Amino acid sequence: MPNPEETTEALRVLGQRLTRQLETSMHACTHCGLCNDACHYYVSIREPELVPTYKADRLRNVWKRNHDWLGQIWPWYVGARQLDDEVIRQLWDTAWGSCTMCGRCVFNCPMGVDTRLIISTARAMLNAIGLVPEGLQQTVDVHLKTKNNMGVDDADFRDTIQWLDEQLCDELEVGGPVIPLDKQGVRVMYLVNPREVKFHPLTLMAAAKIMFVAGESWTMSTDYWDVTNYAFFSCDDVAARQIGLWTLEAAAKLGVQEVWMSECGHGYNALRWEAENWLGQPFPFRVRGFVEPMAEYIRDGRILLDPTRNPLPVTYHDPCNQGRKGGILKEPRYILSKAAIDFREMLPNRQNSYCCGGGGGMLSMTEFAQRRIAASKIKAEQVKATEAKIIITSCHNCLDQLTEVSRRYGLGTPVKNLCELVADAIIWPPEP
Amino acid sequence: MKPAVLQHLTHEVGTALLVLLYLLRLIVLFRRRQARDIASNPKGEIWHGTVDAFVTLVAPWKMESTRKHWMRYVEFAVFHLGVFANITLSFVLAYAPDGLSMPVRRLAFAVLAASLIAGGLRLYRRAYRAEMRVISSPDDYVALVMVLLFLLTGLMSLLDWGPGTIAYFVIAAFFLVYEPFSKIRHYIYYPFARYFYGAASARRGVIGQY
Repeated sequence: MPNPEETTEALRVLGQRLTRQLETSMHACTHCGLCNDACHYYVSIREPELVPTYKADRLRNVWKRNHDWLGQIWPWYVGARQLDDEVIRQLWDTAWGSCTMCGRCVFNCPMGVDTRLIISTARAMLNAIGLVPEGLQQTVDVHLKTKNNMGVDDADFRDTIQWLDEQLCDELEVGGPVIPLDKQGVRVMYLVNPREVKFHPLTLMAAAKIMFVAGESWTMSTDYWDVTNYAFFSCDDVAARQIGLWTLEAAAKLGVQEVWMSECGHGYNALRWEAENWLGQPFPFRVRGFVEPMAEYIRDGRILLDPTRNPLPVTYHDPCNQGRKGGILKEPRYILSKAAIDFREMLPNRQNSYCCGGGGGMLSMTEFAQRRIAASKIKAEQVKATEAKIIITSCHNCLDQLTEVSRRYGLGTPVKNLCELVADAIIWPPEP
Repeated sequence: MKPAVLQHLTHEVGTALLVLLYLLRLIVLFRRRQARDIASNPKGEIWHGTVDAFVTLVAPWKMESTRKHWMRYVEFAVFHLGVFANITLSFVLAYAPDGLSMPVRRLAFAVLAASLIAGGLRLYRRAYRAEMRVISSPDDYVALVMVLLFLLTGLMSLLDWGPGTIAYFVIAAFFLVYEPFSKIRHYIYYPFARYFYGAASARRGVIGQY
């Protein structure tokens, strides 16, 4: 049994987060089961306990016991449950291990029930009593301690940027810097995923090349440069707010008009749509995902592309946090129509795209790795049906997950971020 | 007390309790804080998303779940149409029984009978499919059985079968008081849920982009 203080604390968090939106979603579900096929876990694994309603009911039943009329006087009749050991075990498995909060079920619910909101509330309750998967919590802790989620120190960051800058200067045959650091008075501050600095510099190089060729006025801050916010996944609002605040402070110090994020699904959702709510104030700058200005560069002729440089058939995976939850749906398709000669859509796509399985911080929770891969069967089938030779996405978590999916399901399809494809197609130097 | 007076009384008391209980439910809901979204530069208009969210309800091709399971959508529509007709019938029979001409009576009978079949299919699916059983509580079954009984006795009353009509009004009165407690209350909440879904999705530029 959880001790009484833990139960009280978890229920306090439930009460605190019980907004009009959440209460409505608790009441409105009719258990019709129409959302079943919307969930990549259920579609791929076919266990009844993986349908979205069952997962939402793990918390809904606790809510009924504490907040619903009939649930309080006649709990067995409506399935209401006390927050006991068994329920907490079920909540742990559901909230962390069998839902990526991708929101596909929300778009397929005739009632408008927000199961994503219910699961995030369950995560917040578990977080409040210290029940967060170790890998996820470590990522948040490292971020709070070092101001980036991989613990890259300042010297390493500067060395890496300098090395990348030299590589780009050689490639473009120009004098540096191509990647300006701490430049005051520029228009844009650019944030990156620490894995670009540590393991995957091609993405940062590609973005820097695009901005250089477009003649963008931009810089990176050495004070704060991490686009990620894993506290968004662990539903720790205090930590998430702190991470948002660092971006605000760094941008204010540089005096930029816009903050752009490298291709990172949850980072986009967290900073573009949630951070101002956590901070309780609007940003004095505009927040954009790099896909948006990239599409504008192409449309405005600021970068010229030769799609024949990307001759292989490509398909695009919509990251849930950037697409269905972020509204970036048209831009990637416009870019792909200009940067590659054979773009093939997965079916379904856009806001109906299936989650790759790596969302919700799932890649950091190794205890659920086997289920994560099993749940991506539907995505593997979607990719296979396109017969594409390259998967393009716009999110590092999706990229990692899809790379693993490609290997585990024998697809043999490499995965790239969108800006890498664009950088490969750039005509440089401009032809006379 | 005459049967007709008793019939009116139970109906009126039942309706009054229903209204009172739903008002209480709405008061509880509106006492909750509404989460405000202050994210700058929204990509769309809230009202566009709200319209889109409600239009989707009558445009099953717009949502994958209803597009793929179109028979379920037909079943949903027929079932709810019958329930609505049956509730209307209870008021017509109580207060204006002369308004039921034979053509209207026949039409109502067809609608209620179709609704009864649709409800029966729903009950079958809930009881026999594993993925439906795991999400069903006693309330899910009882609410459905109650509606089926309500429809069945509605049919009996249309046939002017006395005991059936009495049962119809007893069930109708019980039904009116029972529904605010049961899952049937969803119809009070779903407009809010659709609104919240539409508003949030439109602000983010996902739906309602005209």
